[in-house]
Amino acid sequence: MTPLSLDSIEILLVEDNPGDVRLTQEGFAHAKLHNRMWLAPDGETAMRMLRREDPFDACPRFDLVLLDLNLPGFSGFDVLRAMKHDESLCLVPVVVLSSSNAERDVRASYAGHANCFVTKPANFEGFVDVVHAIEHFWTNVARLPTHG
Amino acid sequence: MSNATTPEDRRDAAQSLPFAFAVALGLGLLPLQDTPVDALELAIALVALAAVMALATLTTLRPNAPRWLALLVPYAYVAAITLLRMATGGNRSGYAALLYLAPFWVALRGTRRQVLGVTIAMFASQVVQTTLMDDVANAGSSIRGALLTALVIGMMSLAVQSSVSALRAAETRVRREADARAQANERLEHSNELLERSNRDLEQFAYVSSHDLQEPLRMIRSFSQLFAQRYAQQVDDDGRELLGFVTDGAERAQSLVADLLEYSRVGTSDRPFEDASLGDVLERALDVLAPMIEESGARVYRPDSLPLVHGDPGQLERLFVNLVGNAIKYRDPHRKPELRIESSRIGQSVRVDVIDNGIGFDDEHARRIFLMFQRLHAHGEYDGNGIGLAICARIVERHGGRIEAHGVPNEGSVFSFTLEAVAA
Repeated sequence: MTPLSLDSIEILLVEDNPGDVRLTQEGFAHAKLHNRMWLAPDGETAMRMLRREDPFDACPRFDLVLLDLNLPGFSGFDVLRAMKHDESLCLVPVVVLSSSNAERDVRASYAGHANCFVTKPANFEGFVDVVHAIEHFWTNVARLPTHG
Repeated sequence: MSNATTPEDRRDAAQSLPFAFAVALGLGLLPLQDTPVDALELAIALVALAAVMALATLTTLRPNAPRWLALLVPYAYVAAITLLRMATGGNRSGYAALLYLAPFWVALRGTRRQVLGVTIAMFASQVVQTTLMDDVANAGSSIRGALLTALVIGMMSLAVQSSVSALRAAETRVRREADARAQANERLEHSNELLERSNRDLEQFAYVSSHDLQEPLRMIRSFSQLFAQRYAQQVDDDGRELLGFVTDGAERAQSLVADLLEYSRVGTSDRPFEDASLGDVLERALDVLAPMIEESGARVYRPDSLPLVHGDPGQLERLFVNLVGNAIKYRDPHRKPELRIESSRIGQSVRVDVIDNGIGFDDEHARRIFLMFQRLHAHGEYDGNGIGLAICARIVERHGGRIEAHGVPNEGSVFSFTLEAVAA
């Protein structure tokens, strides 16, 4: 809900676990990146932020979504489905972050048109590396659609 | 005997009733070919016969029928004959012959006591009938004839009864044995089902718990690392040592949980078996182990070609990774690790041996080695959590093969497993 850093692309982190939120923030800080990261603590809030509904009308158009699968209530898969069925949101790349490496979760994510599936690394260095890699790929390597 | 009624018994009795009636009707008409049919007489004879037969049948159909009902059978018989006599004005009735069927019916359907009762009643009624009601002039021969008829029929029904009893006892025995077998089978199936369910539950439990445990362990490890990075300078050596224990513990727990998860996945995997090239599988396993092989300087000898087997390539790769990895891990520090992989064909199966020159083990531990969490070495001496070989055993088991280990302390060990070969 709050911008976490300045500049460049707008990233929405959908994550309910405060530990993982902190790890992601630390990862971003460590990697000295300048993108803005917003936080949605659950799937419903994420959808309202993405659609910029009241009271989230101050939210930007997001360029990238980091989506945790294991959310309370409206799950990560529900968010993925809702986004891909929404004409205005289906172009936004979704990176699925999961503590699971269960084959069925991987398959279901790609079947739901997730742009990639990343297993959360087991230690801090690994986490920093992954956050860095995601950031680097989506900001410097990949070309993102421009907002119509 | 007849008290041991089964559903089949009852069905038989119910089904043979109409048949008995038809036969009785035909037989009853025989002596009347030259006399006009008396409808009342026929009706009384049929009803009386039906009453006797019904009583005898009822006591068999319902094992819990009141005792007086069973005792009533001979009395009903006497009453039926008397009724017929009275209705026909004491004349010898053609339809009375119908009632001779009753003893046989009772013999077939009733108890031994009822047969005896009916037989005695028949004698008595014949005597009464011939002495009191028949023409006095013919009484002598009538009594003899009547008694003879009653005697023959009585003996015949007793004979029928005993053979029916014997037959029924044998049938009951056979049926009981079959029932017992069916019950035993059912129990076996039931316990099998329970076992399967409990296995599935256990696997599911292992999967869910290990999966959910990963999350908090990741937190502990990541944040203790972050803490160490950020605040290591602000705590003293003692504090850093304590923090080290936290990180190490979390790391060990993580590897344990990851292996447990993998162990449970071997059982829950529903990937169908395919024709897998054991050569390709070994190739991939050695690729995975390449850093370890290089670091240890191990020499790996492998056959030029390995056969096709029926199985899950992913799991078979894991099997090789664990076995070859173990062979390198438990190497003797005083000599260069060498390991040989050999394969031979035995009938329909392929046997693979992984032979090393490592520290070996005492053969008496050969079985224990495949059990979960069983370790032959202290922590610190050799890393490991005792799940690797349990996973191997489970993979081989799932493939319908056998796995075994032999070792000689300080000389080396051989791990062998069999898999189902694909027919060439």
